[in-house]
Amino acid sequence: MRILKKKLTTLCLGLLPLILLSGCWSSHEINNRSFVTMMLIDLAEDGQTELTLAFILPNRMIPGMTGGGGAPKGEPFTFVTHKAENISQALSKISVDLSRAITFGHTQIIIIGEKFARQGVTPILEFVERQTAFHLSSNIFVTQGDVLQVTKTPLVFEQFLSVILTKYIRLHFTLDTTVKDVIIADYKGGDILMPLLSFTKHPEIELENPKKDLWMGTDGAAIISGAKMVSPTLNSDELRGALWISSQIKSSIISVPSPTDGKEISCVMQNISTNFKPILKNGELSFQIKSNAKAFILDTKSAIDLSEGELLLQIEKNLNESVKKNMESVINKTKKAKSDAFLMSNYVDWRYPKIWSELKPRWKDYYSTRLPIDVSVNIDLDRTGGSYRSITLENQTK
Amino acid sequence: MLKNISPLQIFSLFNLYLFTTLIAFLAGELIAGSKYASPVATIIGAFLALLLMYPAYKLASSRPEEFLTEYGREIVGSVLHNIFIVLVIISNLFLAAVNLRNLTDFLLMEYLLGTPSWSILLVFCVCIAYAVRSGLPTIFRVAQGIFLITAIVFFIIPFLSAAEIEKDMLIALYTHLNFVHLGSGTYISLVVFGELSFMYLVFPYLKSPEKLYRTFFLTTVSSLLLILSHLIPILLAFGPDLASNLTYPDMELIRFIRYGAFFETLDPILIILWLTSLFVKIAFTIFIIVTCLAHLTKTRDHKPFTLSITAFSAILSLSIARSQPELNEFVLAGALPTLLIAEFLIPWIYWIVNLIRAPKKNMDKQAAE
Repeated sequence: MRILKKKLTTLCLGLLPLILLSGCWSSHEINNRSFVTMMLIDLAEDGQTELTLAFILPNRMIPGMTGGGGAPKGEPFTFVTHKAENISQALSKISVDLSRAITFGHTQIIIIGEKFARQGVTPILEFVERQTAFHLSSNIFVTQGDVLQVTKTPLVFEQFLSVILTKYIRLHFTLDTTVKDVIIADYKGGDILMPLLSFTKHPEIELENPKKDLWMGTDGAAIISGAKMVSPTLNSDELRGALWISSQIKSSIISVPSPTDGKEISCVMQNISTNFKPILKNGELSFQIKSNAKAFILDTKSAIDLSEGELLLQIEKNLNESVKKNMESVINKTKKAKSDAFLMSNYVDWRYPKIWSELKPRWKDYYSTRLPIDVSVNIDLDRTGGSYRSITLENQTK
Repeated sequence: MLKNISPLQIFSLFNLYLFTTLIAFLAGELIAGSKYASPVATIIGAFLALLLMYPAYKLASSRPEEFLTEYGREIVGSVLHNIFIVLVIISNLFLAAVNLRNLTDFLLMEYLLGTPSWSILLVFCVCIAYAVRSGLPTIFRVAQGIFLITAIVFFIIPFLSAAEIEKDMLIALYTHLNFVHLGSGTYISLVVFGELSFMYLVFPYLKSPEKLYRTFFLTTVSSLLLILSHLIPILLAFGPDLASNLTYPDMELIRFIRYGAFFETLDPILIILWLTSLFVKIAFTIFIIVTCLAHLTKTRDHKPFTLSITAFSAILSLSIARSQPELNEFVLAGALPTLLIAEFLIPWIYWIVNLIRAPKKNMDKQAAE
């Protein structure tokens, strides 16, 4: 009996802490939380910071929850905007308007308006770094013009805007610039590239919903120098070059003139990889950028017989030159903008720390005016597609 | 006395003990001081600790059936012995309090926002007190139970975050080596790995004391592998500047895993791993304190001290510092030097005095015969 009593007491004592583990203390009910998926920041007309948060609305995601049966009405997300002196104050104004607590744990996207980006992105980094729930892997975009254009984007293929933007990154359509990348760049002078978003009016979209008439797409890239957006920007072609340089592209289609008649030959590039190598020779620093890729022919308008190995080599040469030209154009633009956007300073620091400590105070000038950068591209064109000779050539020979 | 702590159990407990502390809470401090030299500094510190704890092992293995806390007075005299044991108690109290504080700070900052720290401590310390009261074999058995799963998860995490790693940065781990940077990291690593030497206080519990040093060597190597498999990715993913500025760099590394939403929000799994590892670590530390106290007060049993010492450690953890920077300052300037004394200096003194006095004792013995 005594043993049973002792065992029962032990059992009760053992179960006692479980009461404390129920999670009721300072509970954060999911029903009382609002999840931010995107953070939009811009500068208002009066110079104040304009913060817009995109919230998901779970009640509009479940059929029958909006009153009455059938599919939910309205979009499953909303935007809330407020202006204030800084981001924290704007956030505070938004939070007092809401019936739920704001949660940043699911924020994947930050979009910065051009005006704010030109003034400097450091306040955003300061804010984000201190929010423990905020993931450093969140992606950053810049819009040409007003950031609120984003809210006028129709949703055709996806349910949420944030999903579209995340897919731009996952599918390597644009640069994958995260909060972490920008913070790391900030330690080295704040030079980086940020993907630009463009908005165009499409009449057919306007007909469907006049309020949502701006079609969003990836554009070029904003060049950031000293944590501020500067001019010029990279255009769409140069964005491909930037993706190529930063090894962020998996495959790409490039068209080059045919060596026989100058007509277009399109090739698919795969396994693209680019390496940076700082070289120190006689006390002079230079950079070697080496890019490798595999390619095959996708389409040709030229009357060409690809069974001739010599011709393939000539196409390969044309491809190399085309990619090299594009890469050089990107680098020249970053030099013009005085922005070491590919963080070459890091490579110098990693390999030659002493040289870096000498160059550090004057790196921006050195990069933009004195640093020789040698770009070499080695594309291996080894497949001709399904046939050797084009249909045009076959017809001509007949 | 139950001599049932196997080398495998020692291996399990100290692996958890070492990699949790360094990866979870000291990675930032380590990288702040040693920058790119952190991995090399950690290796140097670990092997230096192994070397410096040899006297502790030799001393304890000279009388494996007895507690140093009991026979120590025969070596250095009662006064010095009592002072030394009090120092060991203080250093372990600091260790327990700092670990408890780290645990509550982590939970409060990331997951249990708004919960009073005393309530977290209460629940956690009830479990610790129960484990300590059950005795050292229980603590080691718990460690053995959770070791494998923890080690596997810790081992997998760096591979999942491989996409974020900047491979070109690897060369910096070599080009940036310098004595100033190495010194800081070596110091932290030396003290953390030196905590293994507290085993000299519980030698009679060991099943095979002669294998202890070999177990220490294997533990050091395996935990180093796990620590480096996280430390190097942290460095290569964030760089030394950002990594040292992050409160929990390892958690941020997990958040960077981009294999779908499930993995991106995998960070709470760290709670499970860190909590269980810290549980055995703190339980072991408190057991050392209560054993020392029991022997110092000549009480045969450690149990009466368990609850009070656990409660004291909990209160100390609350009052030890007002903020995270203050806690870091306390760790570097207060806890680590005290630990350095308890881990290495005190056993060295016992060992040296023992060496000097042993021939004299033998001669006295022979004369008496």
